[in-house]
Amino acid sequence: MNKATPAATPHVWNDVALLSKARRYVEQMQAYDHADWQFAFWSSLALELIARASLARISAVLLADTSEWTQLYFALGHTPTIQKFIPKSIGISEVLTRLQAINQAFEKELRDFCSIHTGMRNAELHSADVPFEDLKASTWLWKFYRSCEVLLASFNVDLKGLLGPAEAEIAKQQINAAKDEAAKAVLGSIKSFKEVWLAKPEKERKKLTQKSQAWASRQKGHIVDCPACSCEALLDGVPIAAPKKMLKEDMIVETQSMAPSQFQYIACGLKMTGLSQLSAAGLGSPFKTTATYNAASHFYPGDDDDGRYEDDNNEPVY
Amino acid sequence: MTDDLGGLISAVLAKGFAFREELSAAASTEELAHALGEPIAFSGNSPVHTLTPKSTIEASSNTYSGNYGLGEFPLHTDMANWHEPPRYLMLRCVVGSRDVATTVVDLEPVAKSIGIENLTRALMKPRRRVAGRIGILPLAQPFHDGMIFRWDQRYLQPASRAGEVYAREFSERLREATIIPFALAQPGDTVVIDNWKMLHGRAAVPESNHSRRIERVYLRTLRQ
Repeated sequence: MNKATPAATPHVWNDVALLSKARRYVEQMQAYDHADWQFAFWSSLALELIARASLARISAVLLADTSEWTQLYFALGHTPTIQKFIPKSIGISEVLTRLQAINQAFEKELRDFCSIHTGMRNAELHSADVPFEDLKASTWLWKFYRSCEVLLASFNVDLKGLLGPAEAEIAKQQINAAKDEAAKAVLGSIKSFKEVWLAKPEKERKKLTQKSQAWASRQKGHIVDCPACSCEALLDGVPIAAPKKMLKEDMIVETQSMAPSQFQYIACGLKMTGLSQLSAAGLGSPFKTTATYNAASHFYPGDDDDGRYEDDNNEPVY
Repeated sequence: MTDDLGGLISAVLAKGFAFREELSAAASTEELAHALGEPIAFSGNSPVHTLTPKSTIEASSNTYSGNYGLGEFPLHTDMANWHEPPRYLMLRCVVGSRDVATTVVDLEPVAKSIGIENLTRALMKPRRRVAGRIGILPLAQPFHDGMIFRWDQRYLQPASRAGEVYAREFSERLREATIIPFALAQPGDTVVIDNWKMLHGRAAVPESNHSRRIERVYLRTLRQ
């Protein structure tokens, strides 16, 4: 590619061009009422492009289907010489997985929503189903707005820049209302579980506490106090940063920052999923996991055959 | 910042354009372009393009002369229909004309009066395919660390409702903008324009000025 020649047309996986196309779909979406199935349909198309734009913002290479090297070559800005070359990008599911691993703010709850919403788009286009027909805006719209907000942060584009000032205001209100709603629901749930827990005889509570401690010790996770019964419980998370390794004597200590994704406790039975619920319960702060392992096993993981193969034998067989 | 071209580069960076009379008269346009920055040679051809007045009949329909002939060229961004229009352009007089004004307008006040955020949502498209494709082109497009403002009333068409609304508003505000005219009258008279920040145009060419000849070079960067 000649460095001194500006591009007449953008690469098909160019981040800015993808965002421009997403904006066009957003306008199509805005032509309909929030309750109209077409509003949801266009939102799903826009969301996919916004997710792809967000990944391409890091590099268009991340969008290439690397099962063929020519796709990688194409993503790097070259033109493959093979005949009938067609650009192939990764599926939206993989796009979302990569974004979740890269972007701390794009947490599991949003990733799951994006996966479902774009999955509905597939059902709409590839089947006789009409998944957007009776979709209540209250169940998904705030997550759509929040996903857009998070995915567009790397472009320095906020909701106002995507939706215009009027709808951005509505979007902000919906996001905040959903947070309040989640907080109310979670606090109500904690209160109910606490009441049920306290109503149990002390002997049973003690037995359940011991059982759950034994269970927790066998699981991986971050130990926190249960907001309902104050006993030790487990918080699962997803990585939000690359692990940090430190050599301590002959052991390697690996720490990694995690965003809480799920709370579970078997004693009182309280369960919470998603950062919004966990934040409402005061469990939304990132935590660190620590793993310690032998340096020798890290650098010399051993043979890779695990006994699956027979011994080497170069004797000819007649 | 200083440069050995009479502060021309600093002026372009600060104001979006700079005009100098009889600049480096002894140097060729290509030599001057290399002294200024990084010239763009499309398809490996010479970076210097010679522009002469032509009627609509003489010129190809994909050019401004083919559309406007010897009449006034409206204010525009060169290659506004490209994803990445050339950043700078230099126009240098070979055969001058005092009666034909070259005009420039700073887009920033126009853009700010409409709202830059609104212009980033104002989607346009080229009137014809470019390299076989139709791209979506916002009137204001963040690009690396800068912003491309683009405008061309002929080569760009709205591609969305916001595109229609803000293109109309843009056109109206442009009528109230301050137009700066100057004449490329003497050989060597040179103007360098930031094509992402300024629009430029040309007044109608009278019958007596058909010999006007200008050399144009696009530049990717300026030496800093």
